[in-house]
Amino acid sequence: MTEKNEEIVISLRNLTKKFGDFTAVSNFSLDVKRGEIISLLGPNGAGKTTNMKMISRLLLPTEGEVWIRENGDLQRLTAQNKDALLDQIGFLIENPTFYDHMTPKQILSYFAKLKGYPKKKIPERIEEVLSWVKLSEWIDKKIGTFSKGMKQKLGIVSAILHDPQILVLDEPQTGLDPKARREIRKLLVNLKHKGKTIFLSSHLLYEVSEISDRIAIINNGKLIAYDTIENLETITQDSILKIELLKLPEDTGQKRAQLESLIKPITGSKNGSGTVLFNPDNKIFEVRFDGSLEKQHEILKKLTKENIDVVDFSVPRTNSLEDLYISLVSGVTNLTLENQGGAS
Amino acid sequence: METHEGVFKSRFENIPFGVKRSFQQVNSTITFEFRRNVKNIFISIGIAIGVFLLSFIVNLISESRGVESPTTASGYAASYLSLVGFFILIIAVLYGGTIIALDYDKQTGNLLFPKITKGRLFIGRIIARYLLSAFAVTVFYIVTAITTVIKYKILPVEIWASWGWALFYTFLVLSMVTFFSSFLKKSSTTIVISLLMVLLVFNMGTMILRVTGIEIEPLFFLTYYGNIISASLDMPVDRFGEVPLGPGPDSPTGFQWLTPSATGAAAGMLIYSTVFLVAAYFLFRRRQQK
Repeated sequence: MTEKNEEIVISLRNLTKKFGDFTAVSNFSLDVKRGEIISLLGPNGAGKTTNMKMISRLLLPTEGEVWIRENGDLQRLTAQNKDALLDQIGFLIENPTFYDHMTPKQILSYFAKLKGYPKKKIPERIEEVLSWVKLSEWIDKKIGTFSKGMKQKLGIVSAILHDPQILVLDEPQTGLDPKARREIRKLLVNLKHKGKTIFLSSHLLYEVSEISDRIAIINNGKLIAYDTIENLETITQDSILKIELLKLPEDTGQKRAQLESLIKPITGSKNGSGTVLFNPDNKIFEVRFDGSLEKQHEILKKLTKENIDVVDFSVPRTNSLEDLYISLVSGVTNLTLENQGGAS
Repeated sequence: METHEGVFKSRFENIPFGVKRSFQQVNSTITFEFRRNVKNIFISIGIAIGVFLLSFIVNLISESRGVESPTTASGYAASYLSLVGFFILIIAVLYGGTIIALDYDKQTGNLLFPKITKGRLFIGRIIARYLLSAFAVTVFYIVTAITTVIKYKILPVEIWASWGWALFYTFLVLSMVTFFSSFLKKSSTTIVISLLMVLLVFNMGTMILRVTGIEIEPLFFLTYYGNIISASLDMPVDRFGEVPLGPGPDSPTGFQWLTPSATGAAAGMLIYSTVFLVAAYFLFRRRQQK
């Protein structure tokens, strides 16, 4: 069974997974387009890993289908074509744990052979992918001596080793220190620039907001939002703009009131009173607005026109995404997928 | 970073799918398992030599105390096989204890799937670990044969039959250990349970049959098949007999089966190992990572 559609590389259609009476994933549909980084975001137990496992056929869906592009055609994943279709994808499902007494060269060589990579090119390919994550010098060292970050990198390397066009990564940055997380983030962006499509799950909002083209939010096994961060923020009408002034006024209450009188009429926010707040912890004024770039620009123009000495004017994506995520997951904001451009 | 379109295309030209891919993955798994078990290979050779040396020392002490050596070369070779059942058990748990349980205990299975299916991994591992176990058993037979040839200037032909039965029995015990490894949480638990089953449960069963006087041939006891390994060196042997039930010359005797027939042993071991392996495969297939 095949379909012609040049853009979509993975299509999840009405996926449902039940374990006895418990429904882990319910009627989950989502399309992943070529060259995108898509993040699946959700609290623990939301169904992220179950979805990843259904794509990899580690779990069979109770209902629904997984479609994967191969040789230009979208094909339904079945027992008969799983070798060919799953070769298009590099998987990293849950924590990568290796045999400690073996070396990256030995393990990666085995994985490359399993995937049918040309034997003669395997040593060269292993050296190449290890160099991407700066592990070249560790090629013959026992994995038991590696740090958690190095093992995580090796896990990602094992997923990209056979040069798949699509990567499915389950929580690739979990448990890593900030430096290692940054390196993984850089690697994922580099892979995207190489034309790879990346579908990852995470609960690290900052990591997701920095690299994702679109975000899918899952809760209780259901897809509750799927779009770009900007579009989701616009839909929820609930972004926060941070304004730092050159000098902190003695009477911050008065300044807050002044800013509010200037900005409130143009925020477009539907959240009523208290549009401008002062955060005494970081000495920054926070403005609730509708999240659109137009309003952001309008507010900046207004502040400049009124000679307000602004030294920092930003919408931290983490915070806005965090607010959005919490409001969606807790049910404060109700989205219908039909409202969103990216939803399948 | 440069693209790898060329490599990607050429890779696809060479990809074997279906049956060919299965063979390729099983073959790669066997090679990998050999590499992964290098340390165990040395340990198993050490155990083989150690078990042989124990019997050798016992024979030397017996001879020095005036006990006559067996009159035939096959009888002498048989004197080294008193511990062969235990030796095979140790080798089987060495290679079989980690065969499945380890990937769940240490979560190493997360990286293996879906690169390879559970069926192909299972077949590859069984073949590899059986070959490694058989190699250790063969080392034991080689040193036994060399010692026998040095002492009697002849290699008894019966040793080939004994070796064959030993390899068959090794497969049976490895299948049993694999079965336990397929559902138990830890490799260490698998090893302990396997040892307890063979050393305690099956031996207790044999003892219960003996004292109760039940004359059913214990084909359902795995350890019973091990008796044919040494018995095959001295055929024909009594298949059953009366054995004392307690200490002392006046102790009453009870009926006991001593060794299975060749046909019974072959059929029983084949059925037993098939049941173990099929059950292990289905349990492994259903098992999920933590």
